Amino acid sequence: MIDTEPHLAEMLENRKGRRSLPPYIPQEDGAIRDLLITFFADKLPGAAISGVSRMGGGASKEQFVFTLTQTSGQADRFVLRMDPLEAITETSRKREFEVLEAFEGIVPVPRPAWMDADGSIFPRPAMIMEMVRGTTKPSDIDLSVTGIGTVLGGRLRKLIRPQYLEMLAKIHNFDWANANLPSFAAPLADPKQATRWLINFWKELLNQDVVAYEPIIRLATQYLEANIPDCDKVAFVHGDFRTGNYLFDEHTGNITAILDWEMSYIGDYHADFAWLLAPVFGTKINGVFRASDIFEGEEDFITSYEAVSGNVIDRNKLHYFKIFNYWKSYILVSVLGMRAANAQHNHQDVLLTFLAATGPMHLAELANLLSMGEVQ
Amino acid sequence: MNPSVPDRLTSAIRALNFVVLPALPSDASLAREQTQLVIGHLQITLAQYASAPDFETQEADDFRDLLTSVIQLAKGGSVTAAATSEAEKLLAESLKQSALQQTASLQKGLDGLLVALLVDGNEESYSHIRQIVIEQATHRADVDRRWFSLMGFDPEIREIMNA
Repeated sequence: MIDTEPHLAEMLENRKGRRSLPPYIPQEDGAIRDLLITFFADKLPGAAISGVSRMGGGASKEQFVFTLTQTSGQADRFVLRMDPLEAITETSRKREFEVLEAFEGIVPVPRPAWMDADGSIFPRPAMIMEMVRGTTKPSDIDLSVTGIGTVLGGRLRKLIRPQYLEMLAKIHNFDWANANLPSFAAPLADPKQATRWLINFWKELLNQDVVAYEPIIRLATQYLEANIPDCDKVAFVHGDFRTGNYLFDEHTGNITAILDWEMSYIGDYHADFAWLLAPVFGTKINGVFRASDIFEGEEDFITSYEAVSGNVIDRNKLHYFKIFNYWKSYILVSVLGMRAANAQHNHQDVLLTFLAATGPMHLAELANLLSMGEVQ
Repeated sequence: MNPSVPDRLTSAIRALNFVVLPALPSDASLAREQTQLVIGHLQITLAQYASAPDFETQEADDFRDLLTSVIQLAKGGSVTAAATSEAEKLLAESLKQSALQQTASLQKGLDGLLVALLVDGNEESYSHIRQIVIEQATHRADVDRRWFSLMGFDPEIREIMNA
């Protein structure tokens, strides 16, 4: 097994066995209803399942919303989140469940309720969490792919900005050492272990799923391995923190839930900064670029974040993690995504082949950053 | 008259837009989203259809030029020498392949050389090769971003193209 977090190393080994499986047939609502009835038969005897329907949005998991009515008459809406055979990411429902539990009361998250970690009832590992009200984008803005280039607009931008910063700071300052996160491991053996584990994890995915040998990706891999920075503060990292990955109330502008924790880990928080500053997740309107449609350029974000969090952003590390994040982004969309679509192992191949066309944007950024030489 | 590929794509787009999409329930969010994506894919495929062969040929030619240069510059020990031989073989074989296959073979040859150079390559040679790989990646990324600009998620390239 590769040298990365033990739970993730095991997960990467297990995925090899799924590679040769036949095409995945997306689950129908009726089949999911039957599976939910079986799942709750011993957990909540007499409970009824209704209103099962597929959810849109997202690019990794199969998601269904349903109503669970208990014998007391209490009816609640829940979300079933289930792995496809292969996807744009390779993540663990067990870790996602643990992290949602750990962050309850710290930042708004959907409450995790039940889990089928090894897919004993559902066809694949699955978790069930409460349905949270809110939207990822304003209703009057039409975009085909959730989260990419989401435009919040002036009013919401002003309302969301302080919450966004405060929640990111709370995540990075989270006391992970005293949290119940049994599937996570802290990289404390040496100062480079945190990022070495990270690089090894993504490199293994790249090697397993390689669909094309882009020379610039090889150069980026070599650069990342040769220049691993020390991690001065081992922090909790969300892994996909950006506009599009939180729900908000369109009228009040209040963030109602931080979503998509599946790529979270314990490591160097600079990875989150490079991610949320990426042009692909920002907007450019009338010549003004806004990261996550909130921050007018990098310095605007850095000074605001440092003031709110008390954490320092090291520009040299930011440079390194920008390279890491474009490399990771390319692996996500153009390697894992294309492999899953080519193998017909996903429920939304048509989205994966659409997203894969963002690959050249990541390669352009990589070429630009690598041309700057070593850490600036 | 036989229906051409553009004829067939155009009729498929119309059917999805005016028959299938309106018939989908408003709460069938994933089905609606996927239908819109299919329409988008087909519209872009239609727009690219005529120039696709030239695009693929140009891509293969660019990687052939790069691999030829890298082979000439590669200096090092036995691992580099073996990777150079393998790359030369792939370069020769690629001439019999389709454009997409050529690109795949040439990229594989380049990858083998980049890996080998780090093992026992001459430092100056690696540095020079690194530079031309970055230059070529910049060029290819620009071409590819223009090619996919119709997808609509790259505002910067659209700005450059409109300037």
